[in-house]
Amino acid sequence: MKEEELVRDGKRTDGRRLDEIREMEAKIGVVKNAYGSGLFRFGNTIAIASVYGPSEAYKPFERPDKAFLICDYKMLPFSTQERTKLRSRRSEEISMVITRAFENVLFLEEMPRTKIRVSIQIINAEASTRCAAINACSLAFADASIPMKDLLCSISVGKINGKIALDIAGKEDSFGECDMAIAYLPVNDSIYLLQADGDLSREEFKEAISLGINGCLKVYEVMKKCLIEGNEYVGPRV
Amino acid sequence: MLVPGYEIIRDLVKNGKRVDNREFIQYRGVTIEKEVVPNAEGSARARIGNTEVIVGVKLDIREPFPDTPNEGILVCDANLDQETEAEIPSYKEALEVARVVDRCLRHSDFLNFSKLCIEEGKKVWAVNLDIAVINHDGNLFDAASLAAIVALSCTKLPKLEGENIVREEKTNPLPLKMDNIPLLISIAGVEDKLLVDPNFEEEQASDFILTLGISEGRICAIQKRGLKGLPLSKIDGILDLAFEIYSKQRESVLKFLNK
Amino acid sequence: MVEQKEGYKIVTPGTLLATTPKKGKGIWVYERKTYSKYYGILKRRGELIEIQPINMKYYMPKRGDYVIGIIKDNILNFYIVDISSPYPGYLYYFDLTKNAYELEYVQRFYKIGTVIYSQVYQVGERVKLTMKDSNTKILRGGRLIKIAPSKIPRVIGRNASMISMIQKMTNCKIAVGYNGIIWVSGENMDLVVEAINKIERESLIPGLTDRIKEFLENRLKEKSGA
Repeated sequence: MKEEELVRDGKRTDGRRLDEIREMEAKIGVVKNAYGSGLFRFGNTIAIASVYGPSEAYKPFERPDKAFLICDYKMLPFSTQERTKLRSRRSEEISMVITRAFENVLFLEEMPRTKIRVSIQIINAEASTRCAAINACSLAFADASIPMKDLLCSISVGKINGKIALDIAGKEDSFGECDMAIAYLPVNDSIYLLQADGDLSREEFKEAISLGINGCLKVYEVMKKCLIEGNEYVGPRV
Repeated sequence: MLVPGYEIIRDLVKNGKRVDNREFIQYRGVTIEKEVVPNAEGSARARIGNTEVIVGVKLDIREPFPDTPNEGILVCDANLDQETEAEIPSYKEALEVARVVDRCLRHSDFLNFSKLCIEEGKKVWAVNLDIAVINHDGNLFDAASLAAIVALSCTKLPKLEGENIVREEKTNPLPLKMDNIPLLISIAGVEDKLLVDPNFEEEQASDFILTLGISEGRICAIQKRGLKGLPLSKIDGILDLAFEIYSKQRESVLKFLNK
Repeated sequence: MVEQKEGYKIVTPGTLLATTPKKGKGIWVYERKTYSKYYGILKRRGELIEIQPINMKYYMPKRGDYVIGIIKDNILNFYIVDISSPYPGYLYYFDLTKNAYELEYVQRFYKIGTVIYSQVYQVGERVKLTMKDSNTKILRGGRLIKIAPSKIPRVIGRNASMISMIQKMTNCKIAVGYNGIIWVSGENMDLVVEAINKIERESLIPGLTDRIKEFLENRLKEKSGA
């Protein structure tokens, strides 16, 4: 298979450098009915998360020691090039890993026997959807006043034309050699989501993690600015 | 949920008032945006008050139905993902919105189905219209139809190279009759009065809601909702109101599209 | 929209508040450092740190809180009360009376749909309510409003200044539940509802008390003039 040219002279097809993130946007309060909601955008990838809860839990969702968290990731049918199904095996897996990530970030023990449901909708998908989803969730949980350790931030890292690159977009996802999603919590310097497919050496893996964490910190700044300054922040490529 | 707001709404209406101080025939603020979803062939967002709906149009190629071998296909679907305190579950409300919007579009002569034929009996364009409810504060029908019309109006057919669809290249707009814009108008009946553009609580508190699909002086879709009956005596009043609102809405939509 | 109130700082979850362990509300300690748990306003009272969530829409019951609830079920020897919280409230018969004959009489008043102003006396496996406190009562007629529980302090005001002002000016009976439910009864009910919604929207903008006073003055003038 002919290798697709994704990088030339250090610049990618959309003009970005290897360590450059697309334009980011963060907003809260976008779904009025929800207890809290957030929107996060990487370039043209847009995710909206709405938090419903804590609310009364009924068996089998009732846990005596903590809140039952359900993160439900869905892709709207028109969000992709080819029309897609709302739910699929892929979306179920993503729902599961996002729930798992936030179980450790939220203080669920403070709300026993309750249920917290987060509805995540991908409005438009151009790679890194689960990363945008996680960021939207962090904003939504903060907006909903769910007690949490810190804002969980997420970004994708990949290998394109043999080089490690930050924030995988569009064709880089389909034609790159590796695509890794990482979610990082600054307060305790820990990773809560790490998924990848593709082919990496040990050194490349470590390089990707390091680049990914730097990217996460930039995402963190965008989210924090959105919360502190008002409810909308749009940043240029960083 | 706790607050028994429905009695309050009925009392207010008896005294000529609405919860948000609107007139009975007054719409909440309407905002429309087009092309909000880059990956869709056409898209729009419509906001009526706090109700927000995004409609995306995706096109693909299918075999036509056997009884209409030279006509394109329209499929409408809707998604409502919220914990509402409505009487009917979310997925049923969504289904209803999708089907009524579908009827409205199909029977209004807005979309020229015969011009969507690629090869008679073998290949036609299928227009997939997906309605995503972002926030439900009543009157999903009107918002969905507004967004649907705008989304269809800015939809462009992707390029066809033999068997392949090249989505990055857009060609002609959808074959639409812009003279026949169909819109859904919903009118709620509460305590003997007629309310235009009911919000969520008003919908739950109403005796009936009649949604009419109107296009150029003709009715292309009808749906009665609500738990109680629609008195015959109210029909003339509803028709007058609905047609009046339709002409105003149609003007705003055309103005927006021509910008 | 969030605006900064003079002298108050807005913090996000995970913001470092102190490099030593502190005590307070809305904070957590990790490796001997204190961080914020919520997106909220930072308040320091001496050695205590409190983070007040900006907009907490759910109510977590606390012992001693007065809450307004609606009885939604009557089983065995208790009532289940909807207190607009993830936790339902339980009102036991023995709290109302220990006398079996009196109970029949009492049950004529405590029915499904009855609105009560009660107090939370126990939070644990179940949230238990009591009607023994002198401030508790059954609320009849009137109208209920629901706002975010975190805005209730603003509705009450310092030393109840805001709520007494509204009460005096509108001549309405008002009961405020810490669970975000407010009951109001009287001729000017609508004005009270509008005023409270206004407080919820503009709670962080300074000068609120004066604005509400002005708002009510204007609306009352309109009403009497009309």
